[in-house]
Amino acid sequence: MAEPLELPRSIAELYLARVHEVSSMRPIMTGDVFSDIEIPGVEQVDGDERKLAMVVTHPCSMRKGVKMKVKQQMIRVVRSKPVELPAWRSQYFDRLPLPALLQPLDTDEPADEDNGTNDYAALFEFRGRVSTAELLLSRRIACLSEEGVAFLHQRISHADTRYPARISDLMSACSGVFAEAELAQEWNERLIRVDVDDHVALAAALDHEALEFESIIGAQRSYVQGKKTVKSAMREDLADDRKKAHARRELLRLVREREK
Amino acid sequence: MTDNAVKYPSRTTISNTIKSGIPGELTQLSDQAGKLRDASGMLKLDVEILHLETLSMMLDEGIEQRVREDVRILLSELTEVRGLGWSEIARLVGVSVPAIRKWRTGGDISAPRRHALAKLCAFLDLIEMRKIADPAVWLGTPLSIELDQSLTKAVLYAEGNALHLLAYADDHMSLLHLLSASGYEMPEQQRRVEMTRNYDGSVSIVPLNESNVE
Repeated sequence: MAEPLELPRSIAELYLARVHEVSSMRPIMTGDVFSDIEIPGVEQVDGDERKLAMVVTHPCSMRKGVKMKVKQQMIRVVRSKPVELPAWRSQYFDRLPLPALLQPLDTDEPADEDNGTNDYAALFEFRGRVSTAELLLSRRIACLSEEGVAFLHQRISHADTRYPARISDLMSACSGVFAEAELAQEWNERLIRVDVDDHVALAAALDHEALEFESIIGAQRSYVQGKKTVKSAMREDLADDRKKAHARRELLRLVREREK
Repeated sequence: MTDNAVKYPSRTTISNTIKSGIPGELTQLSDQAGKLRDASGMLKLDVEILHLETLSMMLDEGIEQRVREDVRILLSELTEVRGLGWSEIARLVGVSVPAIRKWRTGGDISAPRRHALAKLCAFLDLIEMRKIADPAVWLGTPLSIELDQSLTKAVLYAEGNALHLLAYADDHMSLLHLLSASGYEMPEQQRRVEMTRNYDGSVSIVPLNESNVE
């Protein structure tokens, strides 16, 4: 019998950052896990003592311009028994397993570490709208990678519709917005000079740099590519495989100039 | 040609023999043609191996130079000069993004990982030498518009096919041969969906069927 869902190559592939790896400089994205989040309309569940919740609003829909929309869709993340990787294909349709969620790797080897501790799962049924003001960067404890978000999307859409889009297609559809988030993080890390523990100053600096970043990435500009003059915004180019590298070089050149 | 060299009949001789229909001669000719086919097949295989070996030596030479460089300089080159993203580099090198971030800030890197990073830089250098203007774009684009759009050269590189990709970039290997050498089969990899941009800038995944295939 065909198995509907795909499985990650390793646990490490799911995460962009966990616990101390999480950077305050990264914009809030789909797949981010926060602690101490009440989800209106969602009752208490076994294993939710830390009130963990994951942002599931689609990355293309969570912002209006620079600003995040006032509410985000979130699902409850609870402690869960370990799910072996092969079981991802044909079982646990109601959840995204989050193995070793609170256990960052201290090695650069892509390992399949899973000793059963720190295993969590994001439950699709326990879903609601949370005020964006609740999503404090100091409460963010993990960020999913592009692959991780694609696995979230595949499982959540299969749970809702029984149609699993392929992981590679889901990643292609979001590649531009993830490239943008990565560059925004790079921009902030290199240009913001405030103490990250000074939450007020950091929030002000992040807001300021978000506007600066948007003024560059969202603006139409023209440049020569081969024999043609191309007119487009950097944001559009980041979603285009043929223009992404050029846009990235251009933006990083600007960062380097501003660093001086 | 030496005296020991096998003397093969010309096309005209073969054609005349076939027309005359002499059974004994035809069998002899067929045997000779078969032997020639075997010999040329072996020669083709030997030359393919030789070509890959020379490419391997060129790549090794590049790695040897690059592996001595500061990891942070290599990473900076990959992003700022080549235009690759951190996630892309992580996939190409076969590590996690946190590992890359650790190296950027001077964290320890194991010898095999340093080698993998140097290999990526050396590979892109060789691609650029093949008159490919933007190696990062070349790596990130699909192999063919007719195929699954997620099957990029970067996917093949990450799966350990650097030498085959160099031969392909040299135009000495066909797409079919590249796919076969990399363990892919054409029919199973055909396009099934396409990405379409919506009015609000978002992207939708649209299944392709007979009615909407171009």
